[in-house]
Amino acid sequence: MQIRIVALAACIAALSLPAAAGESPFGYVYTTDTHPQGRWEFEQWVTRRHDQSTGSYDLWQLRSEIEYGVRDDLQTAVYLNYGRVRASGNQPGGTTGPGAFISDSADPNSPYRRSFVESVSNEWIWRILSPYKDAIGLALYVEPSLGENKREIEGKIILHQNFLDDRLVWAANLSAALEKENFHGEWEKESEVELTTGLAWRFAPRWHAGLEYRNHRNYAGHGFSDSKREYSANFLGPSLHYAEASWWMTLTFMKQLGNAKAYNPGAAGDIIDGRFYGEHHERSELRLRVGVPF
Amino acid sequence: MVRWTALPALLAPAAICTPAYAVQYLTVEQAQKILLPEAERMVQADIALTPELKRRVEAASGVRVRNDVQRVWHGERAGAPLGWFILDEVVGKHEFITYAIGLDPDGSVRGIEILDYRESYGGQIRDPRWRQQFAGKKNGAALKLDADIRNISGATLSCRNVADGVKRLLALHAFALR
Repeated sequence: MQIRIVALAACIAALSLPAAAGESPFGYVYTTDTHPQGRWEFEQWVTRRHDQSTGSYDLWQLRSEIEYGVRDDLQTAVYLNYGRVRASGNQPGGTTGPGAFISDSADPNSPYRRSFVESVSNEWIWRILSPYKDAIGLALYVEPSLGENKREIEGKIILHQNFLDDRLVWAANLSAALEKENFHGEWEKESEVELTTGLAWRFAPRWHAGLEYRNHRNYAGHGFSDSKREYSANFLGPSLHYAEASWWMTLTFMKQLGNAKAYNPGAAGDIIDGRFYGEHHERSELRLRVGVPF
Repeated sequence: MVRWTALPALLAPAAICTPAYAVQYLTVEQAQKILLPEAERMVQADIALTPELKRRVEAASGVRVRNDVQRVWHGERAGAPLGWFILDEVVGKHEFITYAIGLDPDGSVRGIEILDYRESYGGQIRDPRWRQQFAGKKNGAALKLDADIRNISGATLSCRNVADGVKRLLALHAFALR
């Protein structure tokens, strides 16, 4: 991992050209800002998902992304999702794995670690209304992902508005995703709905401090009916954003709140002390995003 | 195991390798010479923005007044007034944009100059063709993006705030500089 960070730092240094930014003051919430036509940006995401109900668990998810302004109101991006997991005795019974990132063949009585490439994604954002010219900013987002053990299509509705002379930024996203994931040797269908929202205050030139909230709902199979609901988990945490003309970064810490809800007995077993762990969630997440327009 | 202290190391190279981008295009004196070239002397005449004056300017322009003092000069030649030079700042995407406008005694815009612009996109805001759009505007002009002011891709916030700033200064002239 240290080698990866050094390599990443080298990429950032190499790409630190004087140019532009289409950044977000949030780690999890998208705004409607897009790059002007013909402009590029490199983004690196590093997300640490830390600790499940017991033992130790660290999932490092990395995303390397190239964004491009197709038109002033249409942006696309291609990114590679990869990472590394390290776990030991993370299951409620004190065993290790298995899980979404831990192989079925993992020895339940030994520590486990593995690096992986999860998927390749292609993102499109179409801004319909600008928060700077219209009553509210509105954009639509679609993102297919393809990986060895994962197929996903995700859509978002993005709302964005600035207040108080553009010093207060508010954004909210409603996302829905249909997924097929290879769990335990079988392709399982599931669906997700997420509501994310955040407020960020520009407390000094170049700096924003904010608060982000995320509600994640999971559904068995494809569809969003009540009968398919499995669980709901909530996250809340602060964000810090720094930006100047040639680069920007956002750091967000999200803590899972102790008010998860289960809608079937299987999911109920994954809720411990009010938090949902299962295969997809952890006690906390820390995300760093760095963007370098060029 | 990766320590948390390793994360800031990601940022250091960018900070070190990124060329300084702070650009001051013009000093106040240079902008004064461009906007009121025939002035023999510039006399500083800053305006205290009282709550009542702020209220009137905000009501007339529809733009919030943030500061308590507006930096203003009047240009003179042979003792006769030539016009006004007003220095102002508006919020850009990352930093404040410093600009100045020159006004004729009747309050119409002679010109606008960008002194500092440090944003990622929208360097065209310094383009004379964009700034020329403000020439001749008076208090009450719409100064609205995509109406009488052209937008610049990727710099919508900056363009809107400069246009709003000029609108606010024209209202200030109407109430405090006539």
